[in-house]
Amino acid sequence: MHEAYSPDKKVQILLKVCKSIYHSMSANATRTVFGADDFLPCLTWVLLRSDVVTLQVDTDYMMELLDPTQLQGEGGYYLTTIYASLYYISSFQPRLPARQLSVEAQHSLNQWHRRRTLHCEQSRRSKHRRTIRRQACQERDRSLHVIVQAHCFQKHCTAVKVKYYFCVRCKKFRLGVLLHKSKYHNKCTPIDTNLRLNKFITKQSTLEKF
Amino acid sequence: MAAGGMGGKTYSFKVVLLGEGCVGKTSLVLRYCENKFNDKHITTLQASFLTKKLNITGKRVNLAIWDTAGQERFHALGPIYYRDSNGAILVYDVTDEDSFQKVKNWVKELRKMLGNEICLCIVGNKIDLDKDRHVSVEEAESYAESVGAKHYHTSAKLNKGIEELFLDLCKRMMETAQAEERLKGNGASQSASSRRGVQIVDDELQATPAGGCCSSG
Repeated sequence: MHEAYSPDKKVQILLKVCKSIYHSMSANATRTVFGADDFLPCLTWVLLRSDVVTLQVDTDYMMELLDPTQLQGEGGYYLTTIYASLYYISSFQPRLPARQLSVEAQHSLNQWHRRRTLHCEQSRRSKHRRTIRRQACQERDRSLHVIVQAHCFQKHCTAVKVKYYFCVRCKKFRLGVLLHKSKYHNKCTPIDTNLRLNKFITKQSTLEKF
Repeated sequence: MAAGGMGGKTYSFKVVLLGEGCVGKTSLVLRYCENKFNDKHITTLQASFLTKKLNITGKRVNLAIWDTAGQERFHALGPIYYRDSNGAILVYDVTDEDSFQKVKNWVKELRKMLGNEICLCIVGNKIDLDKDRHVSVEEAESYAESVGAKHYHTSAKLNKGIEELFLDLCKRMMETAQAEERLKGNGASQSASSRRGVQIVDDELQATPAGGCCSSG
């Protein structure tokens, strides 16, 4: 699968693999037709037994580049299945089965979905999608605001590339880069940041540090 | 997602099958797809993913039916499958009360994640085993009504109620799609379809007004 270049060819190979798994399943059972109840565990087992190191990369590659119309079809289904299987393996905890997808996985799925459906005229989703985007905008806006404000003091100092952000919980300015996640110290909440920051600006003495 | 065709409309719907293991999800869908189109239509692969072409009141409908693994340990994988689906069929076994409880959990989760856009069908399967019934008809039907879902009774073994279930679901999904289109308006859909190629969305544009503070600082 890794050898193939086009995402389409990769999916064709994936389908062949799934077919041969089905084939060996029915060769060892009385039934000949299987649903996802049986297939997913088998696929997971096969993945665990095989040593395909590039699979995660290839799966991501296909998910990003496959034609959106194909994502609705059989190729899309088995791609989803392999994604699910990989997720199951990577998040496996022996004793307690996770009830929900992790927040990161949900986030990345949402982002992926947004990326891939941009061109698709999907009337029924568009309203929903727009609200998500607006929220994300506001959030980024707020955090950018903090950065820009923090940037103001930088007139007094020489650093240009380095940005500061204000962390509410530990009440300190911190150095940071423009990555979205690193704007707040660990799990500190961004609530009320601007307000506190404004107060902070008035205290010139504290700025001496910067 | 309703895709406009050249002649009459062609709708493509994604339907996801949810429910505990062993409630008969697979046999239900297999029965449905096998019955009408013989072997000719069954896709290269097996019963996990099936497609069906329908013609409802002159409109073509393509159904893609996605089966899911119902075992408890795979519960977390649900969102990967039901993301972006138009309809969900939630199957329980009428002789198994736990499976009905699972359906309730799924309904809660679906409504939370996908809102009201998704058409829900709650299906009590295995009515041929009616003498062992553990989920009462009234309870199931009143529950379905309370969450805005339709309730059906089927038997994959006797091939009962399956055709009606899918036909009804299709009609409801078409209604949802049409309502959505109307809401969107004709002009909007035309401009959306004429737009081709790369579409860039400016997410960061909003940041500029914040720059005003620099002058005061």
